[in-house]
Amino acid sequence: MKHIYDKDVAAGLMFLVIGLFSLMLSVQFDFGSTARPGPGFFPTVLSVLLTIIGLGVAGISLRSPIVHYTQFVWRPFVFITLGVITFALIIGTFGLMPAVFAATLIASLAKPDFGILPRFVTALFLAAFSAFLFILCLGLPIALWSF
Amino acid sequence: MELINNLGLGFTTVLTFQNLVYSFFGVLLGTLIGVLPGLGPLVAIAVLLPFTFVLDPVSSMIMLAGIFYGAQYGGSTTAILINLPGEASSIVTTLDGHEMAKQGNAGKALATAAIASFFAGCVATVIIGVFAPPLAKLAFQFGPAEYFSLMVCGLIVSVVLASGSLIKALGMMVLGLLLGIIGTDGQTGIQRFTFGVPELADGLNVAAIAMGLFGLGEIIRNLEGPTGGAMQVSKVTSLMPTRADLKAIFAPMVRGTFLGSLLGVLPGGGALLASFSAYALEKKISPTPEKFGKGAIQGVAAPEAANNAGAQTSFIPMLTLGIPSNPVMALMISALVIQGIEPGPAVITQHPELFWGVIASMWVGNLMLLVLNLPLVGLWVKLVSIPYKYLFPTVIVFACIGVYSISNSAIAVVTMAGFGMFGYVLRKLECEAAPMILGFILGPMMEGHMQRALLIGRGDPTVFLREPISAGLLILAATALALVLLPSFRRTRKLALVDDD
Repeated sequence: MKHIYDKDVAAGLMFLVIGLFSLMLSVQFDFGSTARPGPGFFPTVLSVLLTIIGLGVAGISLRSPIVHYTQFVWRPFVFITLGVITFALIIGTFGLMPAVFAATLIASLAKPDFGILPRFVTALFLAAFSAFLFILCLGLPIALWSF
Repeated sequence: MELINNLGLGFTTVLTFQNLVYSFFGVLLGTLIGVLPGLGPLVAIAVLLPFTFVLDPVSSMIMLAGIFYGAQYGGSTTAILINLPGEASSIVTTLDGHEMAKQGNAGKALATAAIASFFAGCVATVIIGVFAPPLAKLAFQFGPAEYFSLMVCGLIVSVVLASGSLIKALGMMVLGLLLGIIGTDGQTGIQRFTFGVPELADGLNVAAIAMGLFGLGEIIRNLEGPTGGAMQVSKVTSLMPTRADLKAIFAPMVRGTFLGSLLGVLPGGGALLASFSAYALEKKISPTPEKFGKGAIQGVAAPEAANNAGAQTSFIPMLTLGIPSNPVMALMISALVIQGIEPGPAVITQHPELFWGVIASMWVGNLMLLVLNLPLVGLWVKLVSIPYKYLFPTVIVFACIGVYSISNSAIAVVTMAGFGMFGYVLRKLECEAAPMILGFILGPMMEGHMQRALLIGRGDPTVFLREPISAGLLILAATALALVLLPSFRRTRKLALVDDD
């Protein structure tokens, strides 16, 4: 029995869900007519197209007997993302160096065998290095730090 | 001779101290990032984009172009020395290039790659100079119907050239077009798909999407398993090819250059397809095909010439039509827009020094690569031996700062994080991101042209078939799709594009 761990079934479902979701959003806008296409025209047509493609992708793969499993590794997925989001949260209020430091620390957790001291040293080094490169050399208008 | 005058203008623009310095920096930084595994031209440009903000438009384009082909070049260096393609279009170079290195001819392989790239760069520069201006003139006659059909054609070609399943690539393209809807509608000013987030009114940031999908997505995938420490690096010995070697690579180099120039203009994987096809062609017409894969010098020269030529001619649609043929060109366009220049057919006439300066800079940049890279090979090798655990946080930090400074908004950084996750999911599902990015960039333009064309045609959809150029482009798109369904073409496509990992 095939299920959503199959690459193609999952891809088809992804297209299907996104297609239906954007169709739901698109119908709120005026469709217009072919002579005067409204703001809803293009997105509605595209959403329907994507939904059909999604059904097609999932349908074709459900008919074939071969299952293409895929393995999802969570650790880097979670920590890289968290690191980047941390950067986004910190940079506006606290400035560049704290943002780089925190983002590096969290992103480095993506690699389990990093070591605690190397993590801190890398984070400190990158904070100093990016301050030197982007603010001292390039003069980007970002605060170094502000508390 | 107009061409000579124009190239003369280009060279006077480039050969100022300032522009030479920026070209040099571009080439150097590009090679540096290209050498690092998993980081290709796209990531190089996205990360280094902030470096160009302080420059004038001409210098910034010259530097970005340098980054682009520098990264391309760096990719082949690692392909030869450690059997690790720095970017997709140098995958083929690993086949014979690394084999040569294992036989103790690493220096020769590197020199061959450099010479072939330089030769291709010179020829492609002339090709752009000859063909771009007439194309821009033609583009002035394009109405909305022609532009719409051109974009349809471009998207379909990018889908056909995408690796893997055709229908999934089609889905990715439509998904990209839908992402392009996010933001303020050009016709009515209504906000669509913004969920009330004010930062989304201008749409998603293309650099954030590209960095997320290709930069972060790749990093997450690389971190799936143990990444290991230093890699096995081949020793570099005598650099110079012999006279016999030069004779052996000349014809493949010429064939690769022309094949690459032709394929580079196509949307999607221009340079990638170019290198694969050039390799396949050489193997087919060689009297000794059994030597390919076992260190045939022709197998290095042809694809290296092709991918460099393809990389350069991929500037043609961007510079003449304002339409990007690949994600890298899309970033170039956003760089131009940041500089206050609207890409399109008017660039040649309104900013001749920019147009011809960029073209001349390609030649100068290639010369710099030739002179610079062979002596610097030792440095690049050292760079490759930096453990990945120090590399990936650096790339992440640079990407964050880059995206933040382009948009000056934390939302763009969050967008990048989101597309990083999405990029990993797409890799797991074997969906290719290139058609999606193209769809995203072309979407808003396409919608506008479609609305105007329909308005002019009073709602008659056959308006796209009544104009001869437009009809021709649509027929081309339909033919491309039909070709894929032919069994023989399917096999070739599979060989060239599917089995590349």
